[in-house]
Amino acid sequence: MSCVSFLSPQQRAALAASSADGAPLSSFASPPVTPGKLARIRALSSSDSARIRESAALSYHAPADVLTALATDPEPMVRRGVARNHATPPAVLAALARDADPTVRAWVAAHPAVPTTVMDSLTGDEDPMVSAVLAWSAGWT
Amino acid sequence: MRVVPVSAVGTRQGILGTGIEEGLLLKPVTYPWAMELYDQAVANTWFPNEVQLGEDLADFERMSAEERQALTFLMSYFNPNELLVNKALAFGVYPYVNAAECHLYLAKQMWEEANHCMSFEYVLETFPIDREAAYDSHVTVPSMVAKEEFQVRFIKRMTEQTLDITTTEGKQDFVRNLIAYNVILEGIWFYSGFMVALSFRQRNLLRNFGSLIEWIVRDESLHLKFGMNLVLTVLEENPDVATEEFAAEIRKMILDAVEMEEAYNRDLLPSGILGLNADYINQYVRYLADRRLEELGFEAHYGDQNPAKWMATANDTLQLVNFFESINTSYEVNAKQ
Repeated sequence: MSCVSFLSPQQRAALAASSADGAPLSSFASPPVTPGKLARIRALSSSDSARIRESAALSYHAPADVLTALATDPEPMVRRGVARNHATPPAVLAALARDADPTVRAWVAAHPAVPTTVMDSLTGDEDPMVSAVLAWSAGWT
Repeated sequence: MRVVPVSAVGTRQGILGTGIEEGLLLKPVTYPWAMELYDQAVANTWFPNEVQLGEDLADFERMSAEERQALTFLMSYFNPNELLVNKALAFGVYPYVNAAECHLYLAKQMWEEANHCMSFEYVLETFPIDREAAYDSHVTVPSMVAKEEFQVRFIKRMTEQTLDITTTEGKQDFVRNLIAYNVILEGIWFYSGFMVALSFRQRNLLRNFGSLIEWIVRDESLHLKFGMNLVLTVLEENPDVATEEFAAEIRKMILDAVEMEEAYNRDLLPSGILGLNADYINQYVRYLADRRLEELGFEAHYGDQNPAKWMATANDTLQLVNFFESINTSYEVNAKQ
């Protein structure tokens, strides 16, 4: 006996409806942000491994204080993560625009929410990569 | 094939085995590289809706018909193949690996493949892509069919009752499957598609789609590293596997895979889109194949330079990278307009 036979007609109808064409398969949603999740990101941000700290820096849910702290991390790869994170506050982006590492500055220039004043501060940057990214960013409509 | 030293100190008999009761205790950890990759993978966890794809809709509207077709073609390939990788892991890798730390990583990888599949579904539901065309082409375009047939052959072998992982032949089947999936599909073919996907952002299109692909590449680079470590560990622990004949077969698999990918890319971009054509992508494919050959201990075969230095750092692993590097370079010089 197939287990399908245990289904009631109503359950079968619901199954058929759920697979009908056109219905979205998913909301694609993340699990809700809980205190536990934030605690986990904080724990990752203090890992001895730079790659793990980089993961915290890139996290969509990284709190502002974590991003602020990681913006001064000794490892450039971590600071690059902060510069890439769409949730990074403008003030942190402004600080990273003065970072010694040109790739960090380039990621600031590529940031979709970078304030105009910060972009202006990068104008004339001596590093050719930063200048190239500035030109590229100007192409977004 | 070269065998690099991979730590295998411990009381277990090796990384391969099929015992259900064995490999249930995590400590002592025999393969610390697997634990490190697991930690990294967990730290990298992300979800599709963290990327605001809807913001790219205006870009999609102004893309040419050929650019839209390239995007559709990519979805057609990626969507089912993420699931195919999971079948390869479930049927061809997980049952034959006898180390708890490897099982932990494989479980996370399988969730990531599911997450990637849902990410591409998110793309299909966000952009007005012809879903029927996307679903059809992976069974109607000969170059795409050839790639899938190549892969499916290896999983089928792994599911046969006659496969005995304690024999040299069984171990060779295991390695063949890993080469087919971790090295060829994930380490060459997927990267070729990622490069095309990211090229849109290079041209100020689909910024958020680019971010989504970056997250996927970040996962895939770990999958590749895990697969390579697993292959090298099996070879180190089983000196009977890497016969000259078998090494030649593995090398040929990779070269054949490059030919298949070249044909696929010619179908993907029959006349080129701005800044990108099949020749450019195929040079990148050959460059990637050389890196994979070297990682396996072979000499590079093609000698091509990386035409897309913006795509990745020298070893292509762990981080996608400097997509800036190429801006205003020779990137567009090779393109058919």
